[in-house]
Amino acid sequence: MLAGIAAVSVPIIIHLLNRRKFKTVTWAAMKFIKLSVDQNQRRMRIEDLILLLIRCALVILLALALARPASKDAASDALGQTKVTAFVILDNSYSMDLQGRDGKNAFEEAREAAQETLKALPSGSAVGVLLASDIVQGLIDEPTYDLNQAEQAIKDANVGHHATDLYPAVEFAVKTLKPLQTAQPKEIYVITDGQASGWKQNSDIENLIDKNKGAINFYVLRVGEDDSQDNLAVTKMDISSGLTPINHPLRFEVEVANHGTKERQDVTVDLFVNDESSPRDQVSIPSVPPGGTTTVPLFTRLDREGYYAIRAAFKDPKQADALAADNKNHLVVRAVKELRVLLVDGDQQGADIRDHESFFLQVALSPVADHYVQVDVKTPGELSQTGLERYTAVIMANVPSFKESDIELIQNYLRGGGGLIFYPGDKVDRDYYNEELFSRHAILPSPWGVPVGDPGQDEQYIEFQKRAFEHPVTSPWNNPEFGSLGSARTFRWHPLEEKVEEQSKVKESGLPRVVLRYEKKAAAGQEEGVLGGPAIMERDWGEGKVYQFSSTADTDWSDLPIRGASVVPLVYRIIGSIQANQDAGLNLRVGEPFRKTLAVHQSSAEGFVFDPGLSRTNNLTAQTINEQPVLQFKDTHRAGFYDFQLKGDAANRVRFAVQPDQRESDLRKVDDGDLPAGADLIRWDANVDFQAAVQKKRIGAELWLWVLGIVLLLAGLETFLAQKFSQSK
Amino acid sequence: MDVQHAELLDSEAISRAEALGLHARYVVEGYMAGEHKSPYRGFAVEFAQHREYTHGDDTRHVDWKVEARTDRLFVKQYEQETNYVANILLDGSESMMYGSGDHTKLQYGKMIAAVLSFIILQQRDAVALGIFDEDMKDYAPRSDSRASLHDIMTRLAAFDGSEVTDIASILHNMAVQTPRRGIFVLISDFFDDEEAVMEGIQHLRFIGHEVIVFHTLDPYELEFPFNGLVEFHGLEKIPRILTRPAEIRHTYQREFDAFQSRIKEGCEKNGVHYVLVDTSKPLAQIMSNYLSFRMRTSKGKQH
Repeated sequence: MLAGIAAVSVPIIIHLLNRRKFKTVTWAAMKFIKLSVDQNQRRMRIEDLILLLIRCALVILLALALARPASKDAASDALGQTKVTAFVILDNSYSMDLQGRDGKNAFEEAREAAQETLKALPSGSAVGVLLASDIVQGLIDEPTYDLNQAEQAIKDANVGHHATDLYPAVEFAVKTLKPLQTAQPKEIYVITDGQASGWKQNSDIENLIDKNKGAINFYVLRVGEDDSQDNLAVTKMDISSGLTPINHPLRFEVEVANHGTKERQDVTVDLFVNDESSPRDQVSIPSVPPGGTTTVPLFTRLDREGYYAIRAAFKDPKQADALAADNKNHLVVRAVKELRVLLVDGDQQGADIRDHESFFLQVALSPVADHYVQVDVKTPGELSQTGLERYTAVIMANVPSFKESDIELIQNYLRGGGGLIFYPGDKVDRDYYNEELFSRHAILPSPWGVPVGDPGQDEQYIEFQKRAFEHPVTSPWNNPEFGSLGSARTFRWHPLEEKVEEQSKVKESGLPRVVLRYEKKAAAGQEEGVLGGPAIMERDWGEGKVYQFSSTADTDWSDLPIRGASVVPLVYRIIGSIQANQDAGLNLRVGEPFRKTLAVHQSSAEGFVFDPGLSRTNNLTAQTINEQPVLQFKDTHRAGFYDFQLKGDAANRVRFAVQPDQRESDLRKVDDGDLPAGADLIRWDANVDFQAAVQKKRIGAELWLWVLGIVLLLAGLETFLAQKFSQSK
Repeated sequence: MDVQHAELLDSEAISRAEALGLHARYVVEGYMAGEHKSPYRGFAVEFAQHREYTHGDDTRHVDWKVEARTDRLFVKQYEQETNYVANILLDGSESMMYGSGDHTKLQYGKMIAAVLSFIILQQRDAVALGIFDEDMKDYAPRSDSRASLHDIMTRLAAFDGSEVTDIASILHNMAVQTPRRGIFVLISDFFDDEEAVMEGIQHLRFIGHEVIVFHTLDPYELEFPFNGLVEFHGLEKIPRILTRPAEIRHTYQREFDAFQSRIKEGCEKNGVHYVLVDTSKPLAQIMSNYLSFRMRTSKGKQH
């Protein structure tokens, strides 16, 4: 505006410059010109002044028109409503899929509300549309004047199976609107079912609203049922054995959560395999307490090698609730005939085989001769002659150090998706491991600290954690029925560093994670001990995984190797996670991308992902990630099974599963009073006069059209007068 | 051509003089072609006396009757020829240097002077030429010799214009210096003190001279057709003026018409022939209009 008014000097400057641009004529009859000029001078000056004033006024008014002035007083629409720049944020978390009593789900209502919001925008307004869950999907992330485009985007929008967190979307909208240099009012409409979990960051949203008070108007449009609804959900499914051999009973742990306020009785869960209509197994849960969870095992056998889609679902979805998305859960597993593990034993000195470092592991992994886990034992010297790619996992037990050529072998093995498990021991050259395998190549998740404890006594020891298991490998132990790791005793161990904050310089190396922790004994009078440092850590390296134990594979430092109930499932689950990792992450959480890494020569390969939920086929083209061609599918916003296949390779179709976010199953609603105070709350129903509700906050009527009209009139007047004045006098 | 005189002139001046002479001849002869009786003939026609033939005289004027009687050659002389001298006064001031088209007013004035000289000398009348600004800058004394035509042309061609003008004082001086009645032809734009100019003309008339005024003006001075922003640089006295001509055109034209009318009326009041010369018009047209007008009026006088 100021700059515009400064432009007033332009006509004056032009006027002055024009006076410098003239023709020169050598003339004889000067006295007649002088006479004429003397007679007309006063008039000409007045005319000049009039024209100059009109031109200055033109520029001032034009600048004013561009600033889009609006009158606060004008109540009528005669002058045209103030245009606004707005964002419509549609909550598309899966609670919006909940059917109301009228048979309509909340998202359909939200779509209607969004369309009404668009209709209520004065013509010429700009609008952006965001889908909000725990991620922000910008359907139109820069406000557009094309309201038809916005309308179509809303029409095409779908519910995802993410959890709700409205803050990122509100923050995105504020960050986009705030810097816009426009005098138009700015508005943000959040259309949501008011699920409490969506307003976890309520105080942050409130801060944003307060900071932008006066500049941006916030509206919360509540759709769906007002009262909280009960919800029973299958929140988790996992294969407890970790490995999936054919013709062996496989145990699936299924967690059922009751998010309601009443106890739910006789809840029946079925286990289905692939598209079979009759369940393979069924379990009836006598009672699920309100606000509680119950985990039940379900069993099946798989009779041939390949990928299986396993589904756990309530027997009667209607009996469960109206939120269909979490009434079932999915898992994809790859059944194998056998699985090979290589044990590299760094201490085979004893005459008794039981003194060998690898003895207990070998027994634990492959207790009988024809077991589906086949174990080969080698010395470190034989490593270079062994083709590692045949093995699902390679275990290094008390190996003193490695030759440079062995390191290369190990790296290539990991790049191919292999899994390495390192055990320490008295032969291990700690400095070598720390410098070469940790610092230089970032293969180990942690350096090995100075050993702690005395293995020569049995009084002083440390135990594993008994609760709060976070890593997927150990999470089944959260269920006490699965057994316990806590009884194993460790007498000597290398402390592992938990916080390796800096990302390693080695590009192929991932961030270290804790798999299992030690736990200090509970103090007198307390039930639980304090969680301690890591006992097992892991990190991704290349396409493979590396696990690192802090204590020995034999019984020199720990009694874990002889506790079959603990060590067998633990090592199986570790090897199972390596196998699952090789299958390129067949079980994903919503929003987690599906990736299929290809061979280098397949860089131009194409693939398809069929999404049965939306009956839609998505084409994929290869991208290069870490110098490897990868087919990537990011649109995993709905839970369920998806099918992937390489173009021209229909025989090798791969099925993967996407799990909904279990946090979203809690349908408790936020109270109106707990919504941000700075936002205007509008409860959506067919009778609400939405337009009136939002218009009263808009500034008023726009004047710029009128100003522009005056500009045009003045321009016409200027042309007329300039013509008139220049006529001969 | 006088060789000595020719040496004093530069080659450009010579060529310009020849061009001027040719132009004057072209204008006159072009008009005479096909005419039974030339209107140019006889500024003076009454017989006055005989004079002995000298080499170069036109044989048409030889009085053969006298030759038969006396066996000597005499030529007839006419009264007006002997009584009238045409004094051509050309304004050579700076204002005459203006010209919007092919010619400046001075160039056009020179052509009028040349044509008139040519005609008058053809008729054996005497011509004197004066070119002036505030003083008499060049003067060719009276001569009725055709040979003097070249001298006149050379003088005209050599003159390049001067600065300020003072027509009145020139006229007074000429009135004083020319007591014998004659014809005064005044070629000027009259951008001078009008009253003083009229007094000068009155002075000439008082002595008994016939005065013919060729009021020489450029078409742009008459129409003032400029547009846009123009800075006018004065040729005399008044410095530069920046203005938009379109906005003062009417006033200018009104003032200029008034000026022209004043000159014309002043001339008519004093029995002076006034000829408006628009330099965009062909010279032949202007001269023939005037000469035919003059013939008509002189016939009128004879009757």
